[in-house]
Amino acid sequence: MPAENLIEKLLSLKGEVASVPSPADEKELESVRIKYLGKKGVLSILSQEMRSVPADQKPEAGKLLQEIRSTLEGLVGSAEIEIKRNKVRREIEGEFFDTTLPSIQPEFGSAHPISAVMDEITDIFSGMGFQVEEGPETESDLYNFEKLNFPPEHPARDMQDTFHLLDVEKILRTHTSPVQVRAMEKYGPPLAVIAPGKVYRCDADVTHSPMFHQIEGFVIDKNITMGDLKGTLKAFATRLYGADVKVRLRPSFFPFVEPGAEMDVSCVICGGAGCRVCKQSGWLEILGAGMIHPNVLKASGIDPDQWGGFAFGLGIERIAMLKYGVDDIRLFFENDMRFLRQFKGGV
Amino acid sequence: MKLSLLWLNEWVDHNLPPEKLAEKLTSLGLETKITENRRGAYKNIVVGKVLSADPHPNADALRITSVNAGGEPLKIICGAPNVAPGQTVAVALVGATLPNGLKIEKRKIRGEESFGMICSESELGISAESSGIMVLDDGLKAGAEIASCLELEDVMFEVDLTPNRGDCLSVLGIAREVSAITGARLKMPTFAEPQKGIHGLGVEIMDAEACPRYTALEISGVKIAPSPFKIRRRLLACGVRPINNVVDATNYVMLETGNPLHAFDKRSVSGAIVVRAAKNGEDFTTLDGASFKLDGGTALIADSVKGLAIAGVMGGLDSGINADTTDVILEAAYFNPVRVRRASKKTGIGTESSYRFERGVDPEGVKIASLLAAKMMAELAGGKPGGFHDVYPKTVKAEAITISPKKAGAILGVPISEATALDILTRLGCACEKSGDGLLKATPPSHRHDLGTEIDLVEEISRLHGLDNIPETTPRLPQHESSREGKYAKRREINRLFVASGFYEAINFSFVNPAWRKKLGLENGAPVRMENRINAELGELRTSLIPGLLQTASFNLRQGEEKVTIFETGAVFRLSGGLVEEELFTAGIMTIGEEELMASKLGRNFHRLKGIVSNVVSSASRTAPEFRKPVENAKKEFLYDHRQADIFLGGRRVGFIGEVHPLTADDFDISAGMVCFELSVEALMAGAGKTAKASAISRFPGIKRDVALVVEEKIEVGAIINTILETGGGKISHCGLFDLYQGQQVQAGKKSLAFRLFFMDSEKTMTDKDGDEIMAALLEAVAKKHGAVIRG
Ligand SMILES: [Zn+2]
Repeated sequence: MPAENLIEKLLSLKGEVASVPSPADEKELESVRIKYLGKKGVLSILSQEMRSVPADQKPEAGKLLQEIRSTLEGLVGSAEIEIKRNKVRREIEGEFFDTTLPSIQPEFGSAHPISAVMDEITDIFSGMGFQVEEGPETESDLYNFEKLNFPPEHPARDMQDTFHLLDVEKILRTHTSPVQVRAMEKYGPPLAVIAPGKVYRCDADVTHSPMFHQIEGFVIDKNITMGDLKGTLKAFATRLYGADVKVRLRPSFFPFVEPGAEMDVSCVICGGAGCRVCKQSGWLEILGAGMIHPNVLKASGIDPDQWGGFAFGLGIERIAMLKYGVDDIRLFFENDMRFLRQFKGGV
Repeated sequence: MKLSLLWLNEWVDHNLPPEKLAEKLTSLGLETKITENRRGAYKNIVVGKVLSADPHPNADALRITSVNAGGEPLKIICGAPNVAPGQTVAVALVGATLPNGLKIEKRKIRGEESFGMICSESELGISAESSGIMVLDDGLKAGAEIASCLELEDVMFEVDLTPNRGDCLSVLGIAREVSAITGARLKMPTFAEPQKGIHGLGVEIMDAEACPRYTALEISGVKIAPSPFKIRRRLLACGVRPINNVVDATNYVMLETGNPLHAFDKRSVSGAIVVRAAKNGEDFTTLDGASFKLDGGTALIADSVKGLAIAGVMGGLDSGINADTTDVILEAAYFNPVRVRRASKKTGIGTESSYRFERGVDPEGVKIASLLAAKMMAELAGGKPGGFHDVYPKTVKAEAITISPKKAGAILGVPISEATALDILTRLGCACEKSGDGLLKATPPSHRHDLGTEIDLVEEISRLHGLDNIPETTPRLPQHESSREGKYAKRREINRLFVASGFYEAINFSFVNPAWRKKLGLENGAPVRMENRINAELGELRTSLIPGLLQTASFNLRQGEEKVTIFETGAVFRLSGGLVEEELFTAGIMTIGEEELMASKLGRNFHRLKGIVSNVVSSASRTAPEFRKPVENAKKEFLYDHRQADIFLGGRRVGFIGEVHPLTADDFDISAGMVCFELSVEALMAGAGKTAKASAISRFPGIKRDVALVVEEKIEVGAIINTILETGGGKISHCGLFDLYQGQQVQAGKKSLAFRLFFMDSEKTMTDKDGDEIMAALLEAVAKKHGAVIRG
């Protein structure tokens, strides 16, 4: 067979292939594949003719053949994808799919708001380098009062209405401060501790619960100053309430610190302008603090001439009430699921 | 403590507006709020003279009065039963606004015009008295502004005092602080020396510990009557009920100086006044008629025959001031704070007096207080001060304290110079001297019982120097051991896992009703009982979290919740060998909705909870728990007989799981089918595995086989799975139950179990032949051990 013939045939085939319409379905696709690319297809026959083509024409013929094969394979390949896509599209065509239907969720529970706030505050102080310690909820008078510089029969004891236990010389701790003494005795100085936990006072109304939660924090080291206390508490308030919060310390009295103080933050509700929550003062009292009393250090086996420190304590319920806008403390301990469910995401 | 600005101004010259004063006191640690500001509140309220009071034609209860209020007589309709011609009264003119907000306008009352209002004490905001109009002293001039005549334009403060500042429980005490912070002059009164001794009356202190100083002053010829308005108003404003001119004088001076006083009728005192300890069981009746058998050691003021008063607490029934009293013995003393506190606690009597003595009164202020009261009794009751006994054997004296201003600065974080320290301490009334080496010697004033050591003075310096003037610094915190593995961290991890499993965290009180424990049959383990309670029922500490959770579930079901899924992590308490054992537990309870009741009949809720607990325990302890049937006598009464299991971790029992017994469910008013668990977090931590170590995983393909076995229905699936895994020789990498069938397709009393197995070899590819061999061995084992046959 003359070579001109094959090149001509190939040129004519190239023209034909260029105008082959894209197969619309699997049947058409199959017939295109068989006709051109099959074992007995056009390309197969023409490539057999290559053998008889003169050597000087082989490159041109080979090149043409390759071009045609690529074009056909491209045509078949893309048609195949398009046909599959159309098929899937047809399957859901006309379907009404409502993305607004309620989600099918794996149900999550929620952390109790008090736990959430306690963990948040603990994390702030942990992040500063405080270590977490806990102490027993049933305490002795020695640790709850005496070692904390509450003399026996002192009116300062009236500040805390104590639950006494029967059959055993114990009380329910009235504050987390005993953990100060316990940690000092356990580790010795220097020390930076944060102690979250439950405390108890025989008192109940809208703002007082007989069981509530506190976080105690303290640092013992050389050269600790009241300025360090202020700086630490300011950093805490900033992390809890944001950079705009203002803080102030007022002198106050707790037997285990001296000088003692209370810290106010600018009202988180009104920003300091005055509202019902802050009783128009613009300030909210959130914690008690001070420099650890030398008598407490002594009672914990630490030499107050060598070491000093500061301590602070805050009530979790108060912070949580402000944070979540809860105006009755009893809601926290009723455990009504309609209440608890409002704190999802607090983990 | 309530504080009157007008009263304060009598004791200290200061020019602070009320808001500024409150702010200054607060910055000193005396938290002060304005509770009432009556400045300008009495405009157009004037003194009036009732000229006539005639019946109202249309109302029996009303009177038409004519009142001279400085100008033309005014016609005023008045409803008070006590209105009468000749009275001097307070008249709110048209245009006035009463302290309670009522605006006075010209109006018609039952057809008669009224041009103002004759006021009661309640309407003027003076007291709660509203049964009649207030009748004033006849000496007042018609038309005069009531505010200036009656000293009504006052500002009241509430000062929240901490227990260490007993010295501030008076007008004088606050005045001293104002003086210290402003430098304003304190206006202390001076008195001529009284005549020594009282004729016919001795004074003896037998218990000097209880009473370091006792004074008695005689005032004769008093005429008992009500106190004038100004005194009564001040007492009322400070929360003290006016009684009569003599008793009021004692209370007035107590509020003014902080030194409690007591007045005896001289007729009731026989022979001598003796301060002694009561005899054990000694009878005493207080002036309010309550009888006591006193403890030995209670300090008693007595005469030679009987007790006259519990020292510093309350006077006796028969020794007080009566309407016909003429001669008074006025007691002013310094009693030991602890002794007064004990007496007050023992008798349960707390008074303004005991409150002040407990916090420490000024021993040096005793005499001034006595003379002030005597002067008042002279002015108000026409009494004549006579002799004065002052038994003060040993001066109560503060020790000098050495203070280093440099050290104070080091504690506060702001430099304190010697001059600053000296100035502040002097302003606070300390007697100071330099003692070389940059040290100061400061002797606190007699009213400051709270100042005894150097740190007390450092606090004083910080108060007056101002906490605002201390710069904020950041300490470098000491290094410490990691607390990540602690109990607190573990509790948080467990809580998160339960929350992620759909549980809501509850926090219940640690105190419970013993009846709940008894309902559950939790009799073992001695509960810790409480001496005092928040209510009668919550009488012991919880030994388990379950009762609280059942209560919570019951509460929520009653609120209309369909599904209750709650857990709690907290301490439980047991009495053991005279000590309280505290252990951290976590427990949960799960109810089901209507659609799942069927499932509960098959006990599948148990398995769902078991799955959750298993997940949480495995994750939190890195060890898979085992669930074992409890031995017969260890079964929990409150759980459904067979539907309960003990949870074991590493061979140790750490808790239990089970379905709440239907009878318990009834007791707690909860629905049937509720499942619960309880775990000891501490036991879980103790049983926790170490950090997981990676082991090689097979790179060779394995094969999957399914098999259905028929066994007796009472054979436990767990046992069959164990047998299968054991026979595999480590080559069965998975054995899962995917179907459990009982019914027509199998023989009665039998069940069909379908397992999916996966075989794998770490050395080579698992062939079908290998699989057949394992399968054969496995079938032989389950047939032999459990009588299982392949389901045909
Ligand atoms: Zn506010």
